[in-house]
Amino acid sequence: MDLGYRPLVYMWVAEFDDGSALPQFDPDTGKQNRADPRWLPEKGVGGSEDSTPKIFREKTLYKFGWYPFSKEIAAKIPMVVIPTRNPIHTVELKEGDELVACRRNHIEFGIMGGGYRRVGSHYLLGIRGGEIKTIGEDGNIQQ
Amino acid sequence: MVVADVGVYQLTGGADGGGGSAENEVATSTRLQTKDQFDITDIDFPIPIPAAGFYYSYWIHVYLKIENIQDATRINNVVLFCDGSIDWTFGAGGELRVGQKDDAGAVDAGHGCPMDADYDLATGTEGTTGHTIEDGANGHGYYIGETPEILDIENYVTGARMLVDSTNHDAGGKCKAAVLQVKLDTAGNGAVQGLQADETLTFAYDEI
Repeated sequence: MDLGYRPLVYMWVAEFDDGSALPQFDPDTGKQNRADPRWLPEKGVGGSEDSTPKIFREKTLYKFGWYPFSKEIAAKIPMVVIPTRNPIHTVELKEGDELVACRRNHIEFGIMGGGYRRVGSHYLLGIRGGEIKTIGEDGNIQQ
Repeated sequence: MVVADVGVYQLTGGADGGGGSAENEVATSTRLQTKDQFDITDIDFPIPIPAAGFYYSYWIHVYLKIENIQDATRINNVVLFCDGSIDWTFGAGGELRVGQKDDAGAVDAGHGCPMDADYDLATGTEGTTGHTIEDGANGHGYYIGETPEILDIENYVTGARMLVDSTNHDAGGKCKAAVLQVKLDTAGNGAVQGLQADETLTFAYDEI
């Protein structure tokens, strides 16, 4: 069965300089909070400025991380996510830093035969202009 | 559902600039053949080995389609690559080629063909050869006159991926298409008729 996506093994949590935080998934309801498209590594062409959720326009990020799912939160999320004991990966931002974070998905398809497969996703994390970590689904940094 | 639902699709039929008339999900594989159709089981339209010169498959448009962006905010940076070796017996001058825009176009937008606006119906002589992507009279209108117009897909590997589409997709719909075509050399140059080895290509895209 093709889910149409790779099961997630990490969720993001954004922490702001006022001490508040926003997780990708609400721990009580499992509902997803929308991310800031400015985190994508490539600026891209077009798209709407309105796509940036209000909270990211009004608050200042100071820390961001990819966190593995606990069994408890996984049970509340209405899609397939996999709890693991993967390491946490975080980055702290100084004034002027721009976060880079996204999930990089891969789909392999056959030409003249060969199969179709959603290859493991990568979770990217870093500061624009600096080192960008590529984290595999096993939690390890990819070379 | 909370993350985007994305699949690989192929468009055939229809008319230039108007989009195809048949869209099929590439659920396992596609087939390059000398007919404009999506049928992975039909082996009645192989690419014959030419006595001289080259024969080609009809080109195909293959693309990612965002079925539903769900609660994702944006998808961009669609790229395509292979493992560096297409192990088919297409002869010394043969290749699996992909349509290219020149540098300026690629930097702005990627090498993919905008769908459906620049879709170009694949044509040729069924059972014999397709027109080449770069054919000045019958080629693919989005690529004719580019420098270069095509490249061997083997140039694009995991460390050097082909940018297909740099568009920021904030909603569902089609991404730009990679336009692929097989070029076949003569038997004297090593081409051998027959079913070819399974090969895979990989699309990657960024999502947040």
